[in-house]
Amino acid sequence: MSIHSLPTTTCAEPVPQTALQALDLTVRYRGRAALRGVNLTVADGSVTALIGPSGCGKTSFLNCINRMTDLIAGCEVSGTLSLFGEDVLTDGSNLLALRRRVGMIFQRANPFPLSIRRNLDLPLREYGIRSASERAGRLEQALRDVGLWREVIDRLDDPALALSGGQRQRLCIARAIALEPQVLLMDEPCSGLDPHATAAIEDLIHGWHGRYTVLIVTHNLAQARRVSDHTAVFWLQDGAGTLVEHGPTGALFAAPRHPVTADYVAGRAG
Amino acid sequence: MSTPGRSSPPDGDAALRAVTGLAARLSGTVVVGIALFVLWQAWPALQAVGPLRFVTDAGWHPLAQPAQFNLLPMLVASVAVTLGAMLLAGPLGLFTAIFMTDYAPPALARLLRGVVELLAGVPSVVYGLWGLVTLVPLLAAWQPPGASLLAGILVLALMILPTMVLASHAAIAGVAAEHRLTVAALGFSCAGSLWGVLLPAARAGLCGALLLSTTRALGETMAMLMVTGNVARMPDSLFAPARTLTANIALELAYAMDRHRAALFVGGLLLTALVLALVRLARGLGCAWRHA
Ligand SMILES: Nc1ncnc2c1ncn2[C@@H]1O[C@H](COP(=O)(O)OP(=O)(O)O)[C@@H](O)[C@H]1O
Ligand SMILES: [Mg+2]
Repeated sequence: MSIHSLPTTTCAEPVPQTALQALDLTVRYRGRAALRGVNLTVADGSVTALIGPSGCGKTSFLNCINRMTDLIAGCEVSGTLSLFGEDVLTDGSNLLALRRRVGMIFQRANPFPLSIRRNLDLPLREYGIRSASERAGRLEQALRDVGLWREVIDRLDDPALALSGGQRQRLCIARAIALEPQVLLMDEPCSGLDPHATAAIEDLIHGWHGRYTVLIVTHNLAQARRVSDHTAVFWLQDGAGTLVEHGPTGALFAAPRHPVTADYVAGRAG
Repeated sequence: MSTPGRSSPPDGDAALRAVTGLAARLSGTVVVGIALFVLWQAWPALQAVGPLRFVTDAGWHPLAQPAQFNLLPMLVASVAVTLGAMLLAGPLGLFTAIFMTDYAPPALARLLRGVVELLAGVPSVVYGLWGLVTLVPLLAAWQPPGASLLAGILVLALMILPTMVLASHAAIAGVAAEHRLTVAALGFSCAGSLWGVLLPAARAGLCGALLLSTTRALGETMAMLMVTGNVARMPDSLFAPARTLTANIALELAYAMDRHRAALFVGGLLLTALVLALVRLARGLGCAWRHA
């Protein structure tokens, strides 16, 4: 099956398709719940900001979606999670295929200690793209998409680690989108960057509406308001993180329903 | 007494700088001192015999009249056993290290590591003894005389295997955890992440592992003395007996005098030069691999 084949909708109305659906999702580390009972539906092509104080399970939630949780010893995930209708958590599901549909951008930009070109070329090769010209084309397109092409065109064979922090993060984003994922998970992608580099990445996310389904964790509430359509507020309750409120970003910030959300977005808590 | 307004950290800094500086100077001096000592001891032979005759003489007969000082057969033997041992132990050690780091279940990895550490601690004379009483008779039954380059290669490979495994394991395990996470998140296969990212990221450490194993092999004396046959003649096959430069020194230094003694130090000088050349090579290799 092609990675990008989508189930066809029979409705006449262009109802946004569900990209991601979590039901009673719970994450435990060595038996201790870190995230409990999350129910969240994310529409295809939307940008969702995940906000809330540290330690309330935002990273744990993202890690469930591409099953990075499998790599953590003692981590157990229960509940259900589906991506475009396909179950993510069952053992039988194809892990590599899943991770190829879901790109992940980490807090710390982490290019491989290889050349800029090799950083993008290697995953494309790994995906079985044999034709060098196709890889070169995708590489250029991805670098153009993140606005890095002109900055690196004469030093594609230089070490990626020689780039600045903002450039590195954009390179990592290019590396992820060169693989044409459906979903992008971004875990505080701007927290190590200066305002200028942050603005560049926010511009990118703006341009992605309708193209990728984005889940972005951020501690910057202004950023959440700027880039997202929906906001999900995580909070610590009874010793475990949980989702306390979720809704369209404008409405949520203007009229929060949950008291902790109200305090948090007003800067009085968290 | 610290000056007013200054707290202890600057004093600590000064002390640390002094201690590390002293240690570095001491190590450097000792290394250079040893090299100079070898040169000084070899000098009389280089002067009286001339450097060329150490590779052009008819053979190694330091006590004959006239004396002959050809070190080439020993140099060839040293290089051949080292090369052969690295060809065997290099890939074997690397693959064992990869298995230990990325594939073996934790309990098995721990067990393997314990065994390899144990092997690393066995004194070389014990390997030599094993070679002498087990390997050499086996080889002798197949291709006499048994004590040969091949015996040297096999014993040496076994000896440096633990070094190779432990040093490569340290290099691969030392690759930043974030790279492992990234390759996993990008959906790489195990093989793809290993060849594409993890080994290139570990290249400096892997070059170090190769270098450490090679120099250890080049310098090994006791075991070589016990299994290679010690015939100071140019070996013409893997099954021919040979004598390494190190064994040559160990065998003859006790009774060598004057020019003979100095000639042995020329052998030591050759070994030192070989190691220096290897270090350069390893550095070149590490750089060449950077943009692979
Ligand atoms: N690998 C882990 N092992 C054990 N506990 C963990 C691990 N990762 C996260 N946790 C715990 O889970 C909770 C949620 O962490 P995390 O998902 O990182 O929150 P956030 O991203 O919102 O800061 C924290 O209490 C944290 O200590
Ligand atoms: Mg986090």
